[in-house]
Amino acid sequence: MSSFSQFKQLEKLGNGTYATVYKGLNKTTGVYVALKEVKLDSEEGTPSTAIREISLMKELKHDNVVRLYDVIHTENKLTLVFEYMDNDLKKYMDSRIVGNNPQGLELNLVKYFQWQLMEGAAFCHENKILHRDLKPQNLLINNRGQLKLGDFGLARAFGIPVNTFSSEVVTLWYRAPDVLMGSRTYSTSIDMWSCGCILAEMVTGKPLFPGTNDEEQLRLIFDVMGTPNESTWPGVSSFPKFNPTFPQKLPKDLRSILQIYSKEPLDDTLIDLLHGLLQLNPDMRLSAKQALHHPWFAEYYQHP
Amino acid sequence: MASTFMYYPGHVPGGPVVDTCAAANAAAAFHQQQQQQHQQSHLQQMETHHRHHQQQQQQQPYTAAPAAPYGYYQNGLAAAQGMAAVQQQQQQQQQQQQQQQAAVYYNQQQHQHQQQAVAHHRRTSSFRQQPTLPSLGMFYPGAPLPTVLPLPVQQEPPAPKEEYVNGGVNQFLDYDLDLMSEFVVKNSYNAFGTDAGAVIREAGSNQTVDLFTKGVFSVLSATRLPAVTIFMALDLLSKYVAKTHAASGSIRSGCVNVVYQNTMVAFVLANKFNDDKTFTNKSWSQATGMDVLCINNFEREWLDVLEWRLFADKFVLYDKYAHGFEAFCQEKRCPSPPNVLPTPHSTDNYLSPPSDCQTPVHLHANVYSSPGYLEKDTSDFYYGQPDVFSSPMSQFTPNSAAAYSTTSGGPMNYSFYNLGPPPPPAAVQPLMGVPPAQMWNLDERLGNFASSNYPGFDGNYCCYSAVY
Repeated sequence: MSSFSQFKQLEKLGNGTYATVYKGLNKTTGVYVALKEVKLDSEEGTPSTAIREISLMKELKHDNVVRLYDVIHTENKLTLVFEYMDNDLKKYMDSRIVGNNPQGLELNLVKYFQWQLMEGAAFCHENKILHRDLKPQNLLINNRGQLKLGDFGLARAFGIPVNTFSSEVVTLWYRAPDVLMGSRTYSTSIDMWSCGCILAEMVTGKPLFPGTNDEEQLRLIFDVMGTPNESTWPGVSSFPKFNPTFPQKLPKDLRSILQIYSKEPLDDTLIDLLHGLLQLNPDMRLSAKQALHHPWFAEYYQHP
Repeated sequence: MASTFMYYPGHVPGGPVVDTCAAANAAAAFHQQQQQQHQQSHLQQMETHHRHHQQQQQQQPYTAAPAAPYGYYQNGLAAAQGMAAVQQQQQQQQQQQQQQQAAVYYNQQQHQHQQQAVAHHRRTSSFRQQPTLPSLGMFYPGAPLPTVLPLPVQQEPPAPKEEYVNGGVNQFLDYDLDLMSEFVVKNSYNAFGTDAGAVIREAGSNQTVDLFTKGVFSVLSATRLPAVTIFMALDLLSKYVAKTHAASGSIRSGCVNVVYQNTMVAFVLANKFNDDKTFTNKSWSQATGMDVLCINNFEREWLDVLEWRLFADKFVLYDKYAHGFEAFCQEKRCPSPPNVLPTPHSTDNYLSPPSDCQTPVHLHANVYSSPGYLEKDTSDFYYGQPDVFSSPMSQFTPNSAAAYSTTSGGPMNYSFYNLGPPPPPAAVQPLMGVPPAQMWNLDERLGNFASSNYPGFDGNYCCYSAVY
């Protein structure tokens, strides 16, 4: 158990949804850490976000999940001591914008990041944990090119029966169509849609479906992936927010949409993986484990 | 006129209504909990009733009987809606008094509304109706108003949209509230290494267990936790007790306050961990009657003891809890015939208070004692002298055996449902003649206990099974 005096608080790294993150130095070991400080409110008690983030991350020890070292709990402040990461994927991509033109990442780097993202997600899902807020801001990277899942404040255990899944999870741009239509029975597929959006965003440097509200978000998705109906997605019309008057669209060619933003030719296997992750029907979506066996990653699993 | 109100069990046509006194009356409170999900429509109904009531009084100024059944609804309304609603109602009365409606129309409508009220009443009252049950009150100062809590805290990404289903976590409960409350009490006692039967034997009455059960019922009504969250809370409770037992041992004393408070904190943590709709500790304070600072302290203590690992075993015992509850419900619904000889007040001990039950007024005084008793974390001192109470005595008086049997639906094996550690050999403490209701009652003298090394033990604050 650490005490707060063990750490030297350095510069502020950012504001999370419910906390402020500082860089810190462990004075005993000389190791940099990230200190996530949560102000405690006496009416709220310990925030449920903190309770989940801590109790779930304590069970997740993996190279592609940010490590939680310690928790310092005082009466008015809760400090989470995390492994220090240099950057997050969002800032990293923003830093590469030239003028007003977003730039995609090199495809071999995209592949390496996506591989690690799949590894981290697969590990969470194996451990019966949904992240529920995967997006570039929550994927932390370091100068060695490692990528790790962070911010488990919205995460949730699954596997035991769940009655109260909220459909108000995942930042809008990365939210799956079934969740947008009000599904409360989602499972790991909710994270996989986000992973598909992130993959496309790494390729092009810009978000794939940047909606401003639920309706627009669905419209943007259907514009590209086609409007679902009972024959393409059995059961779709029974979602609470399914609207029979959705504009009927046919699927577009994903490659041509993405290719204009990428300097490198996008090969078939990449497009195929994207299609697998961006299946409208959650039952058809690839799992993290399946994605790791996708031909696009052949160089990783054939030559580990 | 009066005969149409016979649906109300305690109502004697033309006579006084049993249930008219306090809005905090326990029976009314339970009804009102049940009615929460229909609050809106019910409110309208009640207002309509009231309107007619006023008119009726105007038209039939010398008829007293019809006023009686409305007393019930007005009480429920006042408690549920608070003073604002009452004032609103009063305004409406004034407005209505100025209105004139044809008597014929009125009579027709009146009849319809009464029928609605009957239907509504039946629909929302699944529990055993005990309108004549004297108020047992609640356990703590600022007794919980059994309202469905708002949900101030939600797990949400940016640009959240509130989705209030019904105030509580779940719109539709996947369990019977009565049975679940009893199941929680049983498992909570089990977690502390005792059981409700032993407590009843020690107390010589089931009033403490009854209060505990009603408290749990009240909290579950207000929060509407899903079953899985309740099971997780029970699982956490047994883990916490097991860990603290290793550390100190004092928690195992099984004092009903300790059991109650820790069970409530288990609910708090399970809700925060497992549900997308969570309550603040302030709301929990309102629901449980515990001081919010006390909940905060308990919460911090729990997280520390459990090292924040609320999902370490991925809740592998879920199935056992679920099946245990199923079996419990079956046993309760089809109890094996009791083979214990009846004693003077054996058959309905669990449902009705013992004959020496205190009057509501008396209990009222007991319940609302010092508001400050929870200012400090008092969990360790008011049951802190186990040896003082280790005098063994026989617990198998006819009375207690009967109470035991009525609680369990027969002399069944408690360990059948026992998901926690096995109960130790029954050890019984004399209660020093303190009515069990006083177990819930703490007063400012506790503060003195806290500051003294040796708790000057007062029978009022002793706990039950402090032997092991």
